[in-house]
Amino acid sequence: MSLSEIRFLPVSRGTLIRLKQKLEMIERGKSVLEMRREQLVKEIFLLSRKLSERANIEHEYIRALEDVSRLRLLRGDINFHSMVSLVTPPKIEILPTSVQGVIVPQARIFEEPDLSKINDPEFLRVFKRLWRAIRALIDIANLEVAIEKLSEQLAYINRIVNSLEKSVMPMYKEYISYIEERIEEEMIEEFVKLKGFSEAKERL
Amino acid sequence: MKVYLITRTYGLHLHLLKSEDYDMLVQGKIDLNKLGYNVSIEKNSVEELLNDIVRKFVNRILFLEKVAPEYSSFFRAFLERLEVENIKAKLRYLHGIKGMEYYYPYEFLIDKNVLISLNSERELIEHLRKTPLDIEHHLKRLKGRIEPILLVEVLLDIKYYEYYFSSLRNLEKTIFQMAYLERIITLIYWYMVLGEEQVNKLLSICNATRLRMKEISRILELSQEKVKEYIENREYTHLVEVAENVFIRKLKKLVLRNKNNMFFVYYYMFSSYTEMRNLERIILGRKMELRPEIIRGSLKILC
Repeated sequence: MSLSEIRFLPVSRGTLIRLKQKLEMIERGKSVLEMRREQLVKEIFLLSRKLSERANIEHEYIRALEDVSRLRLLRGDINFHSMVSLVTPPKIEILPTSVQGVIVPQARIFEEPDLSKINDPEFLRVFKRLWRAIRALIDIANLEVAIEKLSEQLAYINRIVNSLEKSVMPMYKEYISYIEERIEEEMIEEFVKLKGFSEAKERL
Repeated sequence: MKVYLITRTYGLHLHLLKSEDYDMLVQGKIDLNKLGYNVSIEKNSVEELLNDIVRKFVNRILFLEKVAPEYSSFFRAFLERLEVENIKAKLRYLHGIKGMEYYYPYEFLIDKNVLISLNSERELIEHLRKTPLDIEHHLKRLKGRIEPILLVEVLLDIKYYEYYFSSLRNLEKTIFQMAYLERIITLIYWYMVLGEEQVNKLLSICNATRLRMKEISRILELSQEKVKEYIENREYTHLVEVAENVFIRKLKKLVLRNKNNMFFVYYYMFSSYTEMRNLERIILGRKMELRPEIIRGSLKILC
């Protein structure tokens, strides 16, 4: 039953009972959504705290890149290029993962880069450092995506709670009170009618 | 012809880049096409730029060969370092993941297309069989003792210096002294990767002159403890930096006393090689947007 249809419902006790049941269900749903909202906010705060490391990780990544660039500079491009060809790149896949019931795409490292063929100690050191920084960046990226998706979900729940609070529930309450008034009026009318009948009967 | 060669070299030496040219290049105030090259750091790719600067270096040495063909073996042996780098790169490509291969534009012992077409280490070794870089015999004796890729690379270096030294037989002793120092700088790398004992074992098996820590520290003017510390901490770049500075100092000192003999030709050749290396560093540094002070600090200035 859509909200606009409520106005066309017959004014009766049955309708009143049905509407009250619906309102009760909506209130229950709203409180469930509010609980979920709190849960998501808590989770977002928890994840956000870990994001504070981002500046350090980015700094470390830049330092590692600088080391790689400096080595490329000193050893020459042919040497660097051929040395890089000895590295088997890592295997990273994007998997949908559930975070607090929200589907979040997460990058998962299936295979670490294989550096076993690199025998040059300096190349090995800088490549290892770079990979450590990249791995940390991937973790941070996963966190950021999770926060983004949880925030989207939070915004969606907020919209629903707001619409329930500001639009649906007041409308139901208004119509319930209207029906209640109408039923009361009908009851008084009935009572007056019955009183009129009984007085007429007495006069006869 | 020797006198003519030395006279020509004096003239050619004037065309090499000066310290101020490098400064302007590093700061981006001037481009390579304004300094006698055919490329622009702004417009061309790294590969195009490297090809151009290496070609220029090769052409400079080949011009000397044209002027004095009797020293051809010396010039060719000097240039051969580029081909050795190409062979080492090929070896790594063969062992690594397949992708784009890229080499210095120089070929003498192995045709570049043949080098690219080789599919295995075996084929590569077979192609080297008829060249001064033949390592097959030593490789058979040493297989299994060291990681294959390392073994081939170290043997190539040892063989290269044998070949290089053989080309210096009739030349001034001072050239040999400097070439010996070049060899030490190369062998320091192997000291770091394989260790002193292993390197000396390989050198004695190849009937090459062995290299002692004592000798390295004496030549590099460092204490043995300091050299050991560098090697143990595997700080190759720092140690090579020290070694190269010593090399340049000695080179500059010796050239003052050997202005009228073949040493000056060697000095010019090495200066050209240094110019190529410096330009490579400037190109890479600028393309990677490194800070000018980092690029400037990596340059070796001879002129």
